[in-house]
Amino acid sequence: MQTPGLEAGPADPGNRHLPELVRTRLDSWYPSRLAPRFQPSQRPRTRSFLRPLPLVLAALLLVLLAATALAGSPRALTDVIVNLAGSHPGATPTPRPHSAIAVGSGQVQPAPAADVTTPALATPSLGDAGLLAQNQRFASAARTSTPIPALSPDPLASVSPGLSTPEAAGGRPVNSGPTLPPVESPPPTPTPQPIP
Amino acid sequence: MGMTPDTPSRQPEPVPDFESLYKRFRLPLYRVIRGIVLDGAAAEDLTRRAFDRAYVTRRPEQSTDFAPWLYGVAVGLALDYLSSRWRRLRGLYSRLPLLPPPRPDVLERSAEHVLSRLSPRQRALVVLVVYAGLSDAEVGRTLRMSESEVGLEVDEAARLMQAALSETDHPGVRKRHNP
Repeated sequence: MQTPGLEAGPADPGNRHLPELVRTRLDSWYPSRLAPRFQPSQRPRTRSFLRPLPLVLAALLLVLLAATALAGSPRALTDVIVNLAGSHPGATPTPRPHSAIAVGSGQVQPAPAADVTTPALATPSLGDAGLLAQNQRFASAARTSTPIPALSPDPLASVSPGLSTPEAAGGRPVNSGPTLPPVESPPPTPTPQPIP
Repeated sequence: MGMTPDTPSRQPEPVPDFESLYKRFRLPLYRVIRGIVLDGAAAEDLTRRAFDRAYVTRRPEQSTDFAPWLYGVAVGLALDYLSSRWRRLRGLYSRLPLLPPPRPDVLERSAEHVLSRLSPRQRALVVLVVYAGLSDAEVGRTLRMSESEVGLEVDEAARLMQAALSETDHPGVRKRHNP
């Protein structure tokens, strides 16, 4: 069944030439670049291969944004990226507090360790023999384990490298001089002991 | 090399049957698509894609009724193209006052003016009925409409086209068809 709307008869003469108009116009259209022979395109396979690529990129971007939000700072984000890349974060120098640098030790010591001072170790009582023996054992351990720093701007600091550590404070002779106060930072110039 | 039921649908070389199909429907498919999208370059690209899709989705047992099937693929691609977001953005862009409008004489002397007054679906309906010569039932299957809906839409398209013809003076067309 064919619709008479576009093939109108004499009752609607205006519609009579409408199909002719459309047909004639469409017959005048010729493609200029369409191949005369069919060549199956590989485009659908390429598309199916490339389709996950934007998704992967978007997921990567989301991961980076989440890492930024969790890290809180661009510096930490750099560390996260370095960790993800498989590098060692220790290769990049991190700024340390002044107290840890002033110790002059060759070993890396955490900054809070310099601030933690046990009063019992810093000021041992004279009559506590057990504590004295323990302190001496700590002192010997500190002497054997702590290397002498090769480069130190302060020669006095190089003589006693572990002054700020509790072990070194406890390792000093109990009655050899004034006890050091709880160390927040190492004393700038320790007073020399009077020669008896 | 003939098509057997064991032949996979994706083959590296075109089947001779499909090659003859391409030669037979290359021009009609291009014209139908261009009558819908009203853009020559886009119609060529869509024709190529329509044959690609038809080549991939063809069935071995499909030996008859090539025309409605191929026109259905082509019309679906053309309507998808017109309704895509990029096309809508391009349409908005072309409406900016900075761009020169299309020349009225070019529009008025051609059938594009009449077809441009229709919706894309109505244009598909008109070119399928008028140019491709499909029956209302075939057009309904192609556009997923009932036969009665096809009749109503064709009447509406004819009314709109007649109005477009009457509102503009169309001496060239009238002189040629009504001497």
